[in-house]
Amino acid sequence: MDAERTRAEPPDTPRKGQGLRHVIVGAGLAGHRAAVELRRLDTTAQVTLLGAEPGLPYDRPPLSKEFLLGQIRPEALVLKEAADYAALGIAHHPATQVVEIDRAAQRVTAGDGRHFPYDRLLLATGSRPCGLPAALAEGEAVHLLRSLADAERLGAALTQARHVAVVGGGFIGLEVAAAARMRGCAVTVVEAAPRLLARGMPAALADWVAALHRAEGVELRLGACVEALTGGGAAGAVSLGFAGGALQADLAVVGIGIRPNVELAMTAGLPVQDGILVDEACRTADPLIFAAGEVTCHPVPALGRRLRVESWRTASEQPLTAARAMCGLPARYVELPWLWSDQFGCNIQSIGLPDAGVELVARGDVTTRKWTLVALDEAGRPVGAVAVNNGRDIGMLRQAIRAGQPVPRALLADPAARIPVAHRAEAASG
Amino acid sequence: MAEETGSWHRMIAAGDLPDGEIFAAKVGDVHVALYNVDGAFFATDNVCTHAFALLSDGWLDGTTVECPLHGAQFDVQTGKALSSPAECDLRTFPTRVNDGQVEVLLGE
Ligand SMILES: Cc1cc2nc3c(=O)[nH]c(=O)nc-3n(C[C@H](O)[C@H](O)[C@H](O)COP(=O)(O)OP(=O)(O)OC[C@H]3O[C@@H](n4cnc5c(N)ncnc54)[C@H](O)[C@@H]3O)c2cc1C
Ligand code: FES
Repeated sequence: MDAERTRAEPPDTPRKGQGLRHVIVGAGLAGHRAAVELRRLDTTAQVTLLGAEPGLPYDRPPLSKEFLLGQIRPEALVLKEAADYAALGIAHHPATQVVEIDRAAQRVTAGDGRHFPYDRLLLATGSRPCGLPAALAEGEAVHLLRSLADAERLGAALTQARHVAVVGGGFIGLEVAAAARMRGCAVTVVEAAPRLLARGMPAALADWVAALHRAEGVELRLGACVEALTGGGAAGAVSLGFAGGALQADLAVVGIGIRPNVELAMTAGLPVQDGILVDEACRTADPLIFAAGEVTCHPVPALGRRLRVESWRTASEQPLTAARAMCGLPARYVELPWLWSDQFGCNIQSIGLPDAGVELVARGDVTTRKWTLVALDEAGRPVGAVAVNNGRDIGMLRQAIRAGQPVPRALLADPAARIPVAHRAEAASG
Repeated sequence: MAEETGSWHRMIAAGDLPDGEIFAAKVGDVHVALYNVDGAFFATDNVCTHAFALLSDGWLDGTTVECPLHGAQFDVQTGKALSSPAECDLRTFPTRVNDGQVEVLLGE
């Protein structure tokens, strides 16, 4: 298919009988959701979805959970409506890595030289996992987990493995540890920080999760920065050296954080600050270029700051706003960061910034299996919360955080109490 | 539209389900969630259409129920999935108050 076309008209003039050309770079959750929404909003638009990965867009959360446990097949991960692209008139080009944005010519170029002209461009390039420094991480038996291909490779290796080393005690590492343990492997988690979930989560949650993993038989080595890791040579053998010890395992999974894929935007001269900088309508500094999903650094008005949010929810909802903005409709994305993690049958949720307050109030007993911890700022306003097996509190706290009003501590501390909310100060997104 | 076949099942005394609360019941194999929205009663399947969670453990705000596990939202009047990660709507069941008791019409 030749996507090349020369531009004669100025950008905003729809060509005879044809709608705007919307081009999306990145066919993950965000890119997919934007494509479907663009089609829904504008039946005449041309919607083109370019993704570096092979196959149809799929859901990542199960990759570290049900998929590793062998409970679901790859086909079941395909995102809803992705199988209907032909019927929806969405031109999906898999295995198409975009290497350049030519803003003056309004077109992007793929690695194989194909050009795709656009009237509106959406960057939904997501993130990639950080590896260990190259000198440390070598060999077949060292795994990262981001893509379906990664998960298939890891899943296959797990069937042989008896001892699994997980480098990194963040959510992904802990989910992999739980899955490997549930498959009967011996599991050791090696974390450089003195506690788990050190990035963004309160210590009380880290302690609770550590107790859960230990009770399930996972060995935790905290304050143990990996200094050597080799996984070459004989199949199924890694050796790890870290501050305070060493260990041998059949394989290692490295989950030490992710980096946003911002290079394309940076090279095109778009402002990047951690993520691609966008406003509430997902606009970049170029009025024809938008960004959505995990790659963005976007305003969170209720918290009075800009954030890059690593969560499924953002990648699912923010692109709906981007699609509206690309169609010239009013659009604002004002949601709070919100994520979940499922480990050993327990559900953990985080909303807002649970480590940003000056005080924490517990709803329920944090030594049990069901509780919520609310973070308050100096003025007694909730700014974030974590809930363990207590998702019911999240909706209420989301409203309370967005309302930006102090909440009496006694009310917060009563697990049965509802927090009355003067109806939402912020309009819902999209 | 739910069909008017099946039989009426007694759930709870109307006065025992306060406004904004959700009552869970299991009738045969069917998990039912019964909601009190400003004095009006609505019933849906109680199992979220995303993975396995009971909506009665979730949060009811007006006519919207939010799943406790990953936050999918549904309109309890129509069963419509309002937000990801839910992709499918919930079944709804007709309700009535009979003799001070809320009843739900379930299929065969
Ligand atoms: C194993 C795993 C488990 C997770 N579990 C949870 C969970 O339990 N809860 C939760 O809230 N979140 C979870 N997440 C996070 C969630 O999946 C992500 O937030 C979400 O996938 C982000 O979607 P995205 O579309 O913004 O980015 P991505 O999913 O990263 O998609 C971006 C896509 O763009 C492609 N791309 C990048 N650059 C280019 C280019 N130049 N040209 C073409 N294509 C390009 C990439 O190949 C990729 O396919 C998990 C993630 C992983 C990996
Ligand atoms: S089970 Fe309800 S949202 Fe996932």
